[in-house]
Amino acid sequence: MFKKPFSFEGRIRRTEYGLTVLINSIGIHIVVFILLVISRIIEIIIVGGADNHTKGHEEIGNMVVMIIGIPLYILSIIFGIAQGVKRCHDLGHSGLYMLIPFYIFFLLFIEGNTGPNKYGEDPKQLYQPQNLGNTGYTGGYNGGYSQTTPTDNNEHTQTNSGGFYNGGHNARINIQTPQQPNRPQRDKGEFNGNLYN
Amino acid sequence: MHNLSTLQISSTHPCLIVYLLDQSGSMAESFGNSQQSKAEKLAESINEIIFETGLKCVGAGGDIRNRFEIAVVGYGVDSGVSSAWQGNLAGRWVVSIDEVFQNPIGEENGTPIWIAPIAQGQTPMNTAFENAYRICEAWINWGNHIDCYPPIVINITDGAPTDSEVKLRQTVQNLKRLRTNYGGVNIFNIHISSGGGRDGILFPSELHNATQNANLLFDLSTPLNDSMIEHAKEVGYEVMKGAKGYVYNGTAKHLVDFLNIGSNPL
Repeated sequence: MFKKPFSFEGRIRRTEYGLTVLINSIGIHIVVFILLVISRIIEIIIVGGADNHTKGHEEIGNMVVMIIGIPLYILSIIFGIAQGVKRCHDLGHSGLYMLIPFYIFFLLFIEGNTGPNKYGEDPKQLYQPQNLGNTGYTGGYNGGYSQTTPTDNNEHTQTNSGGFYNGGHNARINIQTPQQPNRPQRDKGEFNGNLYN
Repeated sequence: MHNLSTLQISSTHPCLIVYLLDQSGSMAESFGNSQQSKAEKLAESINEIIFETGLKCVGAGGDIRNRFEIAVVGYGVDSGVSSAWQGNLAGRWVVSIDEVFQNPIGEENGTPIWIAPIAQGQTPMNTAFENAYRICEAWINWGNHIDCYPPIVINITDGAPTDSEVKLRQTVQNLKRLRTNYGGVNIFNIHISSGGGRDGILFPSELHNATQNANLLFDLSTPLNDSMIEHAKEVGYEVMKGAKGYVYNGTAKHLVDFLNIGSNPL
């Protein structure tokens, strides 16, 4: 949840969107309160006491609130819109549907599309345990041709190409081939960059 | 770009073929009116095409020339992707045809076999194509492969991707950009159907009024070259110039023919 809160791509579930609404509505008030407290503390520190408080000092405090508060406010707007767009995507709709009055209630309560749609994978299925194996290169490969200049009539005819290709082996996970008790086991894992080993 | 007609596939200029095999749970269903499941027929067909590919490479002295290099990638088990080679070749990715012939996992009806039927899990087709992309990219950048026939990727599936159609389209777009000096990577897709081949779409150059999945696989496919088109006509298909390496709702016969046509680049 909240893996890419400011991204406008992909889909999110009702729960994540509901939390977004809560964060933006309640959280913003908490932040404003904290900022007000901070600004007053700063004013007191500057003036050396509440009795010396003047209008100029009040402006300093307001400036602090604005410098911190405005960017936070902008971030919260972007956050809310991004999450709303992704919730629209979960329903198979463009983010522009958010402009429809009261559409927020659909976003909060209507279940998203089952399975992948044109906006991405089903976020519900993403939460189920999946093992997609390794996804990155874990090594390169060495070796090369030890042949003469290639010509049409100069084909290489060796019977074991293992000597030409070097490279490292990666850890293998052996799995039992289903319903094939007499078949040799197969290794599991995505392509790791070792082309010939 | 060099002229394809001047290229000769040889052991010094081999051709890479990458087979992507849908090994999802639905492949356990029967294939049309046959008693075989789709997974069994697919394994049988892949074993046959590998065997025929090797026979084409037998030199004058009876030895096998490494004119083809083959990768077989299965997707579905544990909703993941892995090399489908087994036995001594387990865990390997690209294997030269001679080494393939030296390491079968068994024999059926007098001919060697290398791939066993598997049907389990979902259909992570995007992940399969991502692996095909990385394999093709690494292969093209290896040795003198930039001067070889561009890789051929043949995807056999009975359904739609369960990971991400959006990402799949982007992955295949990236795959299509990979090139050797003789052209871009060839990507052929065949969808096989339990339904006995009704409403089959065979090597079209355009597609109209088709389902979402049919359109997806069509968009992912590239055109057949002239030699493949001629071969398809010889086998009995009505194929126009510009026809794609694409079949939808194919039968068992279509599968065998498709693999033959797609695996014979010149």
